[in-house]
Amino acid sequence: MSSIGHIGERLLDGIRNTCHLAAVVWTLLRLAATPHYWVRTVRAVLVRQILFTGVEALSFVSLVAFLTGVAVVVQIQDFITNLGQRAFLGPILVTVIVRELAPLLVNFIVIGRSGAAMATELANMKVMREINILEAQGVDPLTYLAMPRVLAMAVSIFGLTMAFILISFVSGYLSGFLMGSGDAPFLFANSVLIGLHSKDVYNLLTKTLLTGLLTGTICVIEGLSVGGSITEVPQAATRAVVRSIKALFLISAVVSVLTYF
Amino acid sequence: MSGAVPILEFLNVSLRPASRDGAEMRDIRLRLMPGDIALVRLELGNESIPLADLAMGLIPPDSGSVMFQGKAWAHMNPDREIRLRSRIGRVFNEHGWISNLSVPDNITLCERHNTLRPEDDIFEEAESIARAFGLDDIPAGRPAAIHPRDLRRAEWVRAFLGNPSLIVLERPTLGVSIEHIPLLIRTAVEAASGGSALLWLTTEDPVWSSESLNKAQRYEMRGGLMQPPEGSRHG
Repeated sequence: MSSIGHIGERLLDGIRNTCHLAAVVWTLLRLAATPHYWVRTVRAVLVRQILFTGVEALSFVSLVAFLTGVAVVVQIQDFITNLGQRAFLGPILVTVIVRELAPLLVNFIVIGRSGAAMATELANMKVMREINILEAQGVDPLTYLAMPRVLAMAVSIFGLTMAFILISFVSGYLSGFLMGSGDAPFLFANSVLIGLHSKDVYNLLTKTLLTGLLTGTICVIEGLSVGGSITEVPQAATRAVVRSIKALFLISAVVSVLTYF
Repeated sequence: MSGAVPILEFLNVSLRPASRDGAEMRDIRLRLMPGDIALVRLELGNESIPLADLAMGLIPPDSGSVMFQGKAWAHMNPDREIRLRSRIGRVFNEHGWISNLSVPDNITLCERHNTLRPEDDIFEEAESIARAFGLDDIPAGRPAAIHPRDLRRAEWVRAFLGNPSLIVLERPTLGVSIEHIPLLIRTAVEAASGGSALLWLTTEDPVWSSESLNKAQRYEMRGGLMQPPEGSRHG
């Protein structure tokens, strides 16, 4: 096949995969918007998944946020203080932490920690024919397995990102204060709030909820795409992680461009 | 009774060997009314046949039609299919558990998912069925941690929970002590007298020759055909 043909085939594959992904996300959102699908077993899966993806990841995300705060906020604070441009502290922090770093790092952590696990779990269920066992009991795998997991992923990423932002700012401020370059707490908070615009809220919601939905859906699709062989399970997990990271960067770039230019 | 709708009906159902695992089924005809029990003796060396999956509409036949409560699986919308499958209890031939759920959660999943019954009621009924099968209680813990003998009986509990319309038993006595088999037979007969229909696939002589099941329709699988036993055809 010619190189142009090869590129064309890859492009068509990409378009097909994107359409499939969009169709699954749309189906899951429609299911989620239908109250009668929210039976007690589905609610229980949602709670369990939020516990696993969100609550259990909180300590690790807090550690990363704390260290990020120390590393980034201190440097920015110090740099701006040296330039005598302290009024820019808030806007720069919002640009670096809120707009990009927090959603990106939290998504990375969740993809590595929960996305891979979710794809592996579902792939194992498929190999063990447990999806058929669910269907045989009148339990729709899409409603019971996919929908709550995907929503839990989105909600968890949003919650963890909020925690990340808060912890990184607090740790950054405290570090700067201890190093003698900090303002009073209310001045620091005020400078950050001045830097925040409504666009940032939209940006943050998109980079957490949308990426969460896409990551969850990709992991579900890849997990359930395996055939009957156990050797396909790690391959599915790898594909899920790689596709999720690709989607994350693509969404981050597109949303940043659409929001701020 | 003439106006009653059959619970399960196979109308000239055939499945080509290539369709699944090399199993072939030809021209299967079966009608189960409420209260009927069909015993199907499986051919040695060909025990894994997809009769249960066909009965539950999980795989479509290559020709013919499988009807559940008067309607062909092939003509149902997905929501109705799912709703009707919740009215079927089943013991699976091989692995029949969701690994990441505990055994009690596995047993009660269908009822908790598809009904509004209070959970206490469901667990109470499950415990009562478990006692009928000689279990002191429902085994706790994940399926992988439970002894296969107890796990099989726990699967019986799941199949009979919630008074299903149809109960499909795929070699349910495999790996079970012989003294527990009459308990299953007795419960099966009671379920049938309560209006359920039973499709029981077996290779076990104690089941096939049980006098308690002498009213059951009997069939033998031979080379993809499901036929009445030799003796009954000639007699």
